[in-house]
Amino acid sequence: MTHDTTIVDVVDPHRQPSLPRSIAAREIHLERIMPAISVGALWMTILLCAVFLAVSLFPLHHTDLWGHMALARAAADSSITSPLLADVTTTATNTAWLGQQLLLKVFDYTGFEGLQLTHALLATVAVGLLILATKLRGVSMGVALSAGLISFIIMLPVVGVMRPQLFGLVAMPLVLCGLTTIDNGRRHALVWLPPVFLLWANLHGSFVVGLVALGCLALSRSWQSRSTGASWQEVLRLDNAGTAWLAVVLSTAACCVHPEGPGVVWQAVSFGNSPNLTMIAEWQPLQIKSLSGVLFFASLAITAVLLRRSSRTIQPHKCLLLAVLAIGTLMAIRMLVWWAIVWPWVVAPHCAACCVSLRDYKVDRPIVTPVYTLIATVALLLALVWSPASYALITGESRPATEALTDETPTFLANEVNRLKLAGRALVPMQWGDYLAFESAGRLQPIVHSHVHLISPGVLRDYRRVMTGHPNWLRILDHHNVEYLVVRDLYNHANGEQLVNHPRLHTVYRDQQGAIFRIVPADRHASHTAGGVQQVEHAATGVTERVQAHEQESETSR
Amino acid sequence: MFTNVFRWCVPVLLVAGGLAYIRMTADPPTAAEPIAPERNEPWTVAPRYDLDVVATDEQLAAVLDRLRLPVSEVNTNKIVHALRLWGDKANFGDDAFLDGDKMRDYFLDDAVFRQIAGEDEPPLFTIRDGEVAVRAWHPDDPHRATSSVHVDDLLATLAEIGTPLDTPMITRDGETTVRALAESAMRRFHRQQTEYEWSIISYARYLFPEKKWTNRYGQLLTPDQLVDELIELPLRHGVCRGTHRIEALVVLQQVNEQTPGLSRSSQYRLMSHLARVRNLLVESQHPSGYWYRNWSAGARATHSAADDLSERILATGHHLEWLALAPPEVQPPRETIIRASQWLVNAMLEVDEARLNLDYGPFSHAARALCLWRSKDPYEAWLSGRLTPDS
Repeated sequence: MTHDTTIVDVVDPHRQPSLPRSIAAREIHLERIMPAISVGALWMTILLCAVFLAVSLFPLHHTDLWGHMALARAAADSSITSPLLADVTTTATNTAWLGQQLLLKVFDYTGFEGLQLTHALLATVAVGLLILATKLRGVSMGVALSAGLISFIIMLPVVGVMRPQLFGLVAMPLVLCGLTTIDNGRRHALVWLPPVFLLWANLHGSFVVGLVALGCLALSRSWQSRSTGASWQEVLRLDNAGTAWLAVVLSTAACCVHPEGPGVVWQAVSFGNSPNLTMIAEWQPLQIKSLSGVLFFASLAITAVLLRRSSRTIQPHKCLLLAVLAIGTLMAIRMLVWWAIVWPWVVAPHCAACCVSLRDYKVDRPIVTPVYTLIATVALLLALVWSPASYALITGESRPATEALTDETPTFLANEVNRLKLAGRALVPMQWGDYLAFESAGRLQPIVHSHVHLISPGVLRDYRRVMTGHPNWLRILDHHNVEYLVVRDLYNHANGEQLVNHPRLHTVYRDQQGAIFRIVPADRHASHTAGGVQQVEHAATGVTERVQAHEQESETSR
Repeated sequence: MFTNVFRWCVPVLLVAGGLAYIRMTADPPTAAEPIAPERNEPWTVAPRYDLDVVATDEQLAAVLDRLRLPVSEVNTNKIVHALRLWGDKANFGDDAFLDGDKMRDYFLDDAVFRQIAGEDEPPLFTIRDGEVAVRAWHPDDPHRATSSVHVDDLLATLAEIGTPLDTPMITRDGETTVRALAESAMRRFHRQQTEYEWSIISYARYLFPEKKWTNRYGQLLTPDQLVDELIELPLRHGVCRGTHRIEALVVLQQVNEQTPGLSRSSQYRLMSHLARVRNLLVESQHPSGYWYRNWSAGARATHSAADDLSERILATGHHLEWLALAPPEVQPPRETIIRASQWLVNAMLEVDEARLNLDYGPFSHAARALCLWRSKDPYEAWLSGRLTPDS
């Protein structure tokens, strides 16, 4: 007797598309022990595993992160002199205290691997939340996944560096979810958005971007209502722009639950006004002839094309948000990461509308199978095993610091600083200041580091003078009571040999990465060289050189 | 509902189970394995040539006679150079000069060290956490005269005079062995070091062909990486105008001839590098025979204000020294060697006593170079000079 599947399909519309008998049999067994997921969920898992693996391959950067942890350590231990506030004339304060403490705790308990794993997890969660935020806008999973992938690619230069800002990248998609729900007339975001902002404000100062996003929604809804002739009373009704404004107020109030109080909002807003930030590359205006510039302007071009061809109308608040972020990105490369999060979320529905093949293909019953779950499980296991950081934690075999850190990190110099217990103010290359300060537990106090907003402009100016070979560089160092000078790449340094042979510089340590010099105080140097012969043995050459005192030379020549 | 909960637990349990399996089957972290091989004696790196036109026996004896180290010279750097030159069997029969066994025991026995250096001197070797450390030279150290100037130079010298690894060392912190000193040196070694020449010479003589070892920073090190390290930096960099890096290459190469351990590509690069150095030496040699401080500039090498007699003896002596151990394929023309050695002999005989005393280290290299080119042991050469009727 033949079995007409067509008739069966018509009779039973809920029947799944048929599979070959052998696979179907295996599936039935699997279904008993494993849940079934859709192909969209499978691809999401694979994408997030790939993001996790990619980010976990990044070594820990030698700047920024270590400065944050040095501040956290000093805040937690009053016996440690705050190493990054060596210049007490500056009144700048530090807002990201919770993020710093969390990272320090992770490092104390799990070392470099823990930090790398945290880095990968934060990036993965950020991308995952962005995918969900985009899906919430009513697009297919395929479109949402594409948005997540594109966002990750654009923000890769920033997300590749581990620092407290990554907490903000996790929070921002949640804010976007809140925007969508408020836009759809729901009010439950008023309950969970403020706690998100409370945490965000204590984790990192980038919470302002989230407030700006909410503000854009509130402003545009108000403008829309007012343009139809509504009164302010009507505008501020909860079923109008009132919900958005309430979200802004509640979120801002939540941000003020901070050790700095309401002042934290002003500090975060005015952070970008610090004149020292012009020294930092990521605070420079965006250059079109750069990878970041290419990505940004390409996305602008794509936006223009999509909006022209899309059958959907872009909402005013999204337009406003994109405009604000675009201007911000043009003014500072650092803002590109927020553009990378918001832009795909905004354009995804328009992209879907443009492409017929990407339009939501509504399947009465999408294919779900436990086989996908099994594949996703294997992908997750492989990601955890292949990730060097998680593998090290799983097996208990820590990797050497030189593998977990960038090549630029002054690992051996820091070892020597600790071994010799060097203490005092030091002038070090800016990109090394954070790491040396952290590793020395505040004993060595770099007067310059990558947290330039904590440094007074005068100190920064003097630092540049010394680094560019000002004739009075030693006097500048004396003025700042600097006891140690750290130089990078002494072999190729323009004045390397002069530094090694300088009478007021004693080589404390030297390797191929750099050198540490102890600066002999000016008065002690003068008393040593007055009369007689000074013998200086150079460890580097093993040759004893004689340095004639000025008075003795003058006498001999008379 | 319970079924759903159970089904969602299964993937989680699968991942957890996989990770647990990996954890259980992973090798447990263990203390670093010993890196000293079973072999006890250091490899011998012997001179290859005997050119009697380099220096006559009389000239050799006269030069060497000036390089006996007075007992009053309490300076670790000078003592280690003297030990390297004379060996531990030298017996001058004169209380005014340090004999070989005394110089050797200066390093191996803290009691002898204190006898020579003084009771107030801090120890030369310390033992901490199982590692043997050497007191390193530091500009602010009031005891810097008795500290070690170069990284692992003491260990390399012990290897060069043939000290077995199981030789006991009596330090102020207790008894240890040369093997422990060698292991500690290799654990401390890392590729960012500025001075690595003697570390590599020590490795070549004591530990080669140990294929790899892990230093205290967790880095895996191999002999091919050591060759890379010696070759990578510009020639002008390195102790004594970069000459010790070349010496380390030559020592490594000769030991590799006795027991292969380097990869073919490393061997090829090593020989190519030596050939390149040879060409530069030929181009940069002064007509009188010496080499300048900036010899690595080749034909553009010129006299500079810092190029005094000591610098020329340093450069010429060091280059002749490693050339005496280098294979024939990388030798310069014979006249280059003869010109250099003849200039060196005259310079060593003419230099005043004060200068010689001040720059004992480089001058001892020069004397050793002349002996190597004659395939003569310095002490034997000096002794035969003492025993001839004319001396």
